[in-house]
Amino acid sequence: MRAGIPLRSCAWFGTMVVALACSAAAQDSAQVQYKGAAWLQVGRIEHSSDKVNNGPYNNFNKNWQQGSGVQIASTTRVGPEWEGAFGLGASVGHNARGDLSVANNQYPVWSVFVSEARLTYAAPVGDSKLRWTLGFFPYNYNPEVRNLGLYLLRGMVYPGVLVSGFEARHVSPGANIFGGWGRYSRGGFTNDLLLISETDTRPYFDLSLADVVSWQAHPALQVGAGVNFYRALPRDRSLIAPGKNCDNSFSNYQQVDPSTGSGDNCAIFDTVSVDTAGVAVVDTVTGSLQGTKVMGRFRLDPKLLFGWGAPFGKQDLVLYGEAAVLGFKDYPKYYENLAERIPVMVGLNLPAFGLLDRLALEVEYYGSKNHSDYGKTETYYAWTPRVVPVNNARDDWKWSLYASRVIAGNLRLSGQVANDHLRTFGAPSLGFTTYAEALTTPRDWYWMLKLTSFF
Amino acid sequence: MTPRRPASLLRLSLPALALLCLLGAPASAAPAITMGGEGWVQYGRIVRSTDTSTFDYNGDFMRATAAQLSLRARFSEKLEVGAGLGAMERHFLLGGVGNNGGRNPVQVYPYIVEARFTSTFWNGGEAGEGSGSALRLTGGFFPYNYNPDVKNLGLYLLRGPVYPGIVVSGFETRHVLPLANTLGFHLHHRAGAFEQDFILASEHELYPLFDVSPAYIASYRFGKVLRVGAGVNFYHLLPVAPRLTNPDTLAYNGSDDASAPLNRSWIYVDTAGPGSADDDTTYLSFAGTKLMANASLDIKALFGGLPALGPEDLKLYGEVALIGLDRRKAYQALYGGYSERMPVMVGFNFPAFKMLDHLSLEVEHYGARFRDDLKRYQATNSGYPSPIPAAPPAGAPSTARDDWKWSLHAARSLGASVRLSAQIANDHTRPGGKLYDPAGEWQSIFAAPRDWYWMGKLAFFF
Repeated sequence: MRAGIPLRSCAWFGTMVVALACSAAAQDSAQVQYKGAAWLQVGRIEHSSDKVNNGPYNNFNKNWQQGSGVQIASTTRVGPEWEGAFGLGASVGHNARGDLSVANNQYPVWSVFVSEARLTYAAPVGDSKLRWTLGFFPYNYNPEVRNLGLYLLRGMVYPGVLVSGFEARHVSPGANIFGGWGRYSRGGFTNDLLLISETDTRPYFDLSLADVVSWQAHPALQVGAGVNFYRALPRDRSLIAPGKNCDNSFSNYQQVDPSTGSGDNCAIFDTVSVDTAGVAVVDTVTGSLQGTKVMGRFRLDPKLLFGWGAPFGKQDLVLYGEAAVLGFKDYPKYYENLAERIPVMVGLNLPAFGLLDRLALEVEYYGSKNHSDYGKTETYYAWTPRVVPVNNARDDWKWSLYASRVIAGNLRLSGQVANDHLRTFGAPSLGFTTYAEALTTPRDWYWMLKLTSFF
Repeated sequence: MTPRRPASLLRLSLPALALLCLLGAPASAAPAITMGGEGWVQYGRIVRSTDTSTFDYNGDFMRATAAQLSLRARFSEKLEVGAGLGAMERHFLLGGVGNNGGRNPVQVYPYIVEARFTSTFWNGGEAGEGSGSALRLTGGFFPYNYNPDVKNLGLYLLRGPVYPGIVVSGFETRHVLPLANTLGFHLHHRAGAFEQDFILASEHELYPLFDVSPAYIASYRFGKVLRVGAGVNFYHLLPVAPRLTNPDTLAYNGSDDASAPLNRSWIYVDTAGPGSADDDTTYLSFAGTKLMANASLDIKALFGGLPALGPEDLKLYGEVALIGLDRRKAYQALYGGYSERMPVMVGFNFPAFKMLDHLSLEVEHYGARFRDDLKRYQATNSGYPSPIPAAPPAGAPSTARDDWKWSLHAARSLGASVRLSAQIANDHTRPGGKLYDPAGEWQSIFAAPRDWYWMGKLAFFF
């Protein structure tokens, strides 16, 4: 029984959506609100050290990045309990071109996207509130985060690659969760239960089950925690846990990558000893993309704690942080040490005294010694990291300085300098996508500026 | 010769951003939002195309359909935001039966209608009234058209590259429709009958991308009778990667082909000297300067207006440009003298007596000696985009036979929500790629006086 549970889940999902839609449609007093945004952004990768993944063609030093986009959306309230929303957008970008020697193949990249497509039911239950959302919707359990963090619902478990970047969709009001969301709140306590269908990385359609709680312990202090049973309900278990052999002449998936000669694409060959004849004794370790993440976070506003007001801005001096464990199960060679699977970030909104809405400095430590690259997952559905001859200890620390200011009420100027988990996905001339990070040493960094008009 | 090293983009961006920070207009809490949408279908046929050196387009049909939605939010008298997007379906041109194997599936293209804000600093009176003044700043991806009389030919200042001076036109391109065509900023000032626009455009269409082109356009209205205008465009003046815009080497990947002058990547070698040691090598740039002048004369206004005529009838308008000012020997050899870099367009709106919104005949002369082909500006896996004109393929007609272009465009609105339009023309329409080679086929389809096509369009909007 490989696909039974997801299939039933999907059927249940579909029935619910249809039932809710029909129920909502029965109402005849719809109130429609429109919203939209348009933006223009430009930036440059100032330094990128990686000469293995990023060279010679993928040399991103001094590469410019530019983009423009638009999204429009509407929210329809049908009675006091039902609300539906849908939105769509389009963007055009000019990605990093790579080295001058391949600059001949740079071209605009157009994308269309769904900004949200959801149906929400909300109703009070005694002193509590209960809300159900189905569809494709934005969800962010840690709204303080500007760039680093959000480990629970971004990225994978095995390999434990992290995701971040300039105003990624996970921190923007764009859909990032496909599935269902139930929220129970009472007083300062909130519990979010999420059923997430995989849309970001291969294999798609797997279902993950997550629960996130937060508690406003004091006006100045909020704490939260969560657990994500990542790919707990796979569409096809053989894809996420391929066993000893993933060779497939039809799909061309192979245990040993012919282009690099490296193996461990579906199982780990761990040399455990040498026999009396001097022959290596190899232990074959099988594993899975499946895993469990847990997360804890806090938000502390000392202004409220000590009664400080002017000249500080509303977000000034807020201290926040997040830590996570990406997988509890150890595997030899790549995932031997739990401490190397714990990313930690701390952020502080520096005093901007009302000149900026935010000036957020975020610092992250993640001691993984694996290459931060999920190319093997995209190629082979591999749960093992890609192995390349680079020093993976030089990217443990990440940082980000983010600033934003709303001007004239509906224009927003934002910018960032950072050494984060930016991925360029390869120079256009390569003809294929790479999934390695562009910034791999302490000297690497980039900047971005963005002007957004919104309503 | 050492290429220029212009100032970095950053120097220009910072003042613009600083200017934005000065915007202090408070916004209302509840904006007035208006929604607009448009759908259209168009259909046409290439009746004759002489140039069959690549594909044979004779008799090819052209078809496209699109839908778009837009929202505009006005927060106050000073601030408006516009956001709109659309999607279009079309086909690549089929060519002859053997060109695409008879396969011509539909292609889908998303596009941005507008993604902009407009901040109005002050606004007194209406444009053309001859009194009052206005100042506004628009930023983002927005429509801009300095010569609204143009239906097809013209708009040389902001359409197309400088080297070579390829001219762009076609049936209702986005440059003559209210569709985003400029990425950057636009500062507009009006003082009585005088209007001026400063454009800071980031290149989003042609290689090398990202470069910033500052442009200035001014116009003056003499009552309702005459409007004159002029402008300058410092095309790619501010490159983000100077070594791409102003190359200083043969090629970055060894792809320079010395077999013929038009096959080179970025250099022109003058071999007219007494020996090879005296050959003069010039590195060519993508950057250059365009100048433009235009005028529009409303003949019926000379007589105080004629009630039987529509508002567009009897207008005579025109535009002339000089594309590229560099007169060095290499530039003259490749692009000709000034007279060969000057497209001239004259248009006239025939009397339609309110049966049509307009019936416009436009005629253009452009004596460029190079092939009318944007192929060398496309991204390719081999070679580099180049400011050197494309070499004519074997069997291509003489480049002297496409100097004259013409276009007859008619439009009629039916109520407030439907518009019919049609055109017959011999213009600069390009196939815009082909099925198995999206970077190929960027030459003008029409290369001889006998070539022409027709196109009809039905648009419905709210």
